[in-house]
Amino acid sequence: MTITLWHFIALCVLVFSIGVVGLFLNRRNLIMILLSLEVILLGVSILLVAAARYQGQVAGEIFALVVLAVAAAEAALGLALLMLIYRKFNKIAATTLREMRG
Amino acid sequence: MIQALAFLALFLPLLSAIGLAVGGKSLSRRAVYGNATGSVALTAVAALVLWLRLIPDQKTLVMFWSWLDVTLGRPDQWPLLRSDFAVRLDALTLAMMMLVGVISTLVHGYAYEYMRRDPGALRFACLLNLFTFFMNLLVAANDLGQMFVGWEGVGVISFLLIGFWYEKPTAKKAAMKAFWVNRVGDAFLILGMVGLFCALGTLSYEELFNKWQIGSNELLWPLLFMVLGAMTKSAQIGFHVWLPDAMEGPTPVSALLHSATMVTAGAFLLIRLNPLLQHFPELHTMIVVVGVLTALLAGAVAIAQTNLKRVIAYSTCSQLGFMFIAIGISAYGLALFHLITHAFFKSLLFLGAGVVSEKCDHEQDITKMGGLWRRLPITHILMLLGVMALVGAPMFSGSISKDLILEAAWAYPGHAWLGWFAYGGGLIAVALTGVYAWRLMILVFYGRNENAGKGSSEPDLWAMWVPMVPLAVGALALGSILKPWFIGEGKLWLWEINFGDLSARLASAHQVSWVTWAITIVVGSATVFAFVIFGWLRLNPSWMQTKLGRFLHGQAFFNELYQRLFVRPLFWVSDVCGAADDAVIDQGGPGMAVRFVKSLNRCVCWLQSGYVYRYALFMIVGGLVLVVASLFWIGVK
Repeated sequence: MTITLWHFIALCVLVFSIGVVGLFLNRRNLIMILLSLEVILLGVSILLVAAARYQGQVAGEIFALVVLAVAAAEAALGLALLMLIYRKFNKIAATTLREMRG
Repeated sequence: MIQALAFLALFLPLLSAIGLAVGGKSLSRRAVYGNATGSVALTAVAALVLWLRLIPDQKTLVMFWSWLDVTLGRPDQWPLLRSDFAVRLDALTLAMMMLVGVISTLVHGYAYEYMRRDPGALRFACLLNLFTFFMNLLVAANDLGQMFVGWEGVGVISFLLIGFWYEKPTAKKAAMKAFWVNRVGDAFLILGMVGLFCALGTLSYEELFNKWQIGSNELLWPLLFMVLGAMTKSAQIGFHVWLPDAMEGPTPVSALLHSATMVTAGAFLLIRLNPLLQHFPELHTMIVVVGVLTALLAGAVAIAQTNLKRVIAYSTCSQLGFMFIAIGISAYGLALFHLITHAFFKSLLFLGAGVVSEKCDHEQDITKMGGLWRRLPITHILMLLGVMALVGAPMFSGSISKDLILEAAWAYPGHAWLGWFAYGGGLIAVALTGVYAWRLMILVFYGRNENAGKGSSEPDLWAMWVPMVPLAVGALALGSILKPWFIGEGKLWLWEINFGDLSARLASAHQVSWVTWAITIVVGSATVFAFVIFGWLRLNPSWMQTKLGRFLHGQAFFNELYQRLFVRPLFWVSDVCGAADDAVIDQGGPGMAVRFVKSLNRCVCWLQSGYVYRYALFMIVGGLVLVVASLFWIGVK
């Protein structure tokens, strides 16, 4: 069985879905939300690289690198925000932080 | 010249009130009251100049402008309803304008000192000025329309002045009560005016008097309504309940409105309408009965009151009853005479009462006073003069006018029993007057309560008793001065007031010497009685405990009766209407809208849960929906 583009797409969708489900099934920890976001970005990057490989172009791979850099920046920013939240509220559980409730 | 003087006499207080209302904030109290008092004094001077120029040679009408001009239907068949702002310059109007001007000037001067610590002093001056304007408008009217404007104006100002201290709940209630009772009278007055207009097609006094033919009876009902309206304004029995409560207002208000001027508007109206009124003996009978009952009831109730101002208020009721007696026995001139003398001594008493209660730290309970003649010597003498005039001590103004009324009543022709009724009732009322007036003096000034007013630092302020001096002089001498103008064949009043056979009647009364003597004896024995009972035996506390004393102290339970008859049913009706309004209109209309918005609001609130992960879910679901929708859209294309 040869590995085709569709396998990669299936993998991408799987990873993306895990990220999404992790995003809102998680009730305990904001760090888990950040991790889920990383997983989602990872899934997208897999798709970009696979598509580039099958098309024979490097643009997709370059774009995947950009996404990784953005993800790293985003993780740094998110952790900094988490630090501030922890200092202010003394907790980082997603269920108890609901200041924006209407 | 006359036009200008009439304009000044009528509108000067209004201009002053407007000026003070606009620019009074920046003036000192002295300037404000100087302005207000000056404008009113100039009104009185203008009226005096007009009197000297016009009376007794002529009467004139000064017209300013028409404020009501209505054509009903076709103008050739239906009358024109019109009413003018005018000054009817005749003896009655000018006498009233001078009276209002003089009393008002003195009360303004008194209020300058009385209001020295009140933050509302400016408002007070404005209202007093406005009142003077409306009262002048009322007495200067040449038709019932303008008269009604003035009538309503004084009603409104009376409401504002009774409720001047609107932080006090009792004052608010008293103001509402006065307003509502007077509203009933105004309804009667409007009915009467409409009736007169329907019968004669005009509101002008002159045309009313000229168009009416003797013998036609169609004016009976309209005039009855006019009399009822006059009874409310003049606080006659049944409609008197508002006057004693009106004493919640500041004392100058009581002195100006509720004793001297406004409450006499009813008597003035009846005197003004005397050419019509004199042809209705039924109405005269009714007016006499009402007057006698009022004089008796108010005099009796005054004996058992403990509030200083309330005693004087009931005394006002009683004296207004005397005026109605005079009107009822067709002695209109004597009614005006008593109106004038009463205005002086009654406002004197009120101003004195104001000084007394200031001295006693705003205490108004006379049973807690006593011995004040040493601490307030000048006020005591001035009030003594007022009380002697009220009681009817010989040669005082009150005794002269009251004696004349009783003598005229005794000699009333035709309905002999009516004359006897008026005379007998009047004599008893004179006796009651003597008792309550001396009781007041004894309890306030001569009782042995040494503590009254002792701790007070209030001096016997000259600025407060100086305005009372002219009033005291009036109470002392005005009767003798004015007497020749009112009795005898003076042609002075002939256009205005129907004297009829008054001088003949008075002459016949003078031939029977006991008629006059009886009055003096009654006054004297009432005085002695009061001093024995309240001064020597000091029976006031035990008198208040008797059944009769309690009945009279409760003001004959008119208030309780009206509470049951009118106030509670009214509240019940408004409760039912309020509940119906709440159930049908509120719940059906705005209530439904509110409920709808609230449920919508709850849905939106649920979306705004505050959970970050739920927002993320919405984002992703929304994005998916967009993607799927756009894919479908592309596919359809």
